[in-house]
Amino acid sequence: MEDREDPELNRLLGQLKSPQAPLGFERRVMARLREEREQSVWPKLRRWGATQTLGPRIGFTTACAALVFTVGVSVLFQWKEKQKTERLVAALDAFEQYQQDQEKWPELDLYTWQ
Amino acid sequence: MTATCLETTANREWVVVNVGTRAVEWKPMEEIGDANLMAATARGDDDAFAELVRRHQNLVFGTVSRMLGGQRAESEDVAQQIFIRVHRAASRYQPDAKFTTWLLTICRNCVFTHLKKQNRWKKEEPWKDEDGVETHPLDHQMDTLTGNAREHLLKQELEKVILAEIAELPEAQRMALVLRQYEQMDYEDIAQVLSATVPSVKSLLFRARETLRKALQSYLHATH
Repeated sequence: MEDREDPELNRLLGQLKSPQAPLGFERRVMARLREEREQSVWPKLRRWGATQTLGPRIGFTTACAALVFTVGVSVLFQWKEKQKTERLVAALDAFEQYQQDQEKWPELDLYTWQ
Repeated sequence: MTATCLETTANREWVVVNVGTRAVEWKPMEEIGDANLMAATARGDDDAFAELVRRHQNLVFGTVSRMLGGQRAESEDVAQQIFIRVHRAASRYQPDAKFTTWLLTICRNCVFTHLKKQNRWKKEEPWKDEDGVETHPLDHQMDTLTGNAREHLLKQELEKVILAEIAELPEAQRMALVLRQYEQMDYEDIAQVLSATVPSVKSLLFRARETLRKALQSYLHATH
């Protein structure tokens, strides 16, 4: 289905006035933008922070540093836990090996044999 | 595109620094391209954004108004929302397409969302006389009026009917028709705005025109 211009219909549709933006539209957009900025949560939090006793010290950088510290500590703990698990698995493997060897050569005291 | 850096001065003249050649140039705000204004908006320059609004307010308001059937207050509200969205998206804007195409894509999204929320374009009952016979809406008052008043009323009624019939079209057809008929956009740009292919845009326009031709049949003859 190809689009074909129809002069008769075009003439009829062309009778529609071209709507212009109302006077002061730009001013109202800018006012709405300012309003939206004021309503956004982060500036509100900042303003709230500034009114508190510790306000000036609770800034964005502090919040970021706290976040990095928390993530860092959490990663460190997880790493230590992983190491502990690996050591435990290694000990269990060694014990299993010892039991198998004991079954194979019961006459040998492998535990004390060097 | 040449990389440029903009700074606004007190008398609203802008310094344009070509990053490649380090050439410095002074230009009035009106001569700065849309992409540069968007870049400045992303850096928090409200003057640049205001200039963008001034430049494109009629395009956005006109398109929204035609899509919403000529409701001025509602159209202004949606048009404002569109510009707020443009401001929010300024940092993500990539000047790889025409700015107006990108702007109209936001416009399409906002209008479609608004229409979905409203979903109120129900077809009005056709005009009927006392005997219940369907009549031409313009016939009602025409007999008593003459000259300019008659012509004015005819034009007003005709506009209302055209707007109502356009508003009856499915959203994609309506948008394609508004952009083609009233903004004289080419098929490629309309396809980009509607996230469609050129053949499907042509098909949308064909169907929209067919529907309108049928709906406005009596007016096509009346305005001869």
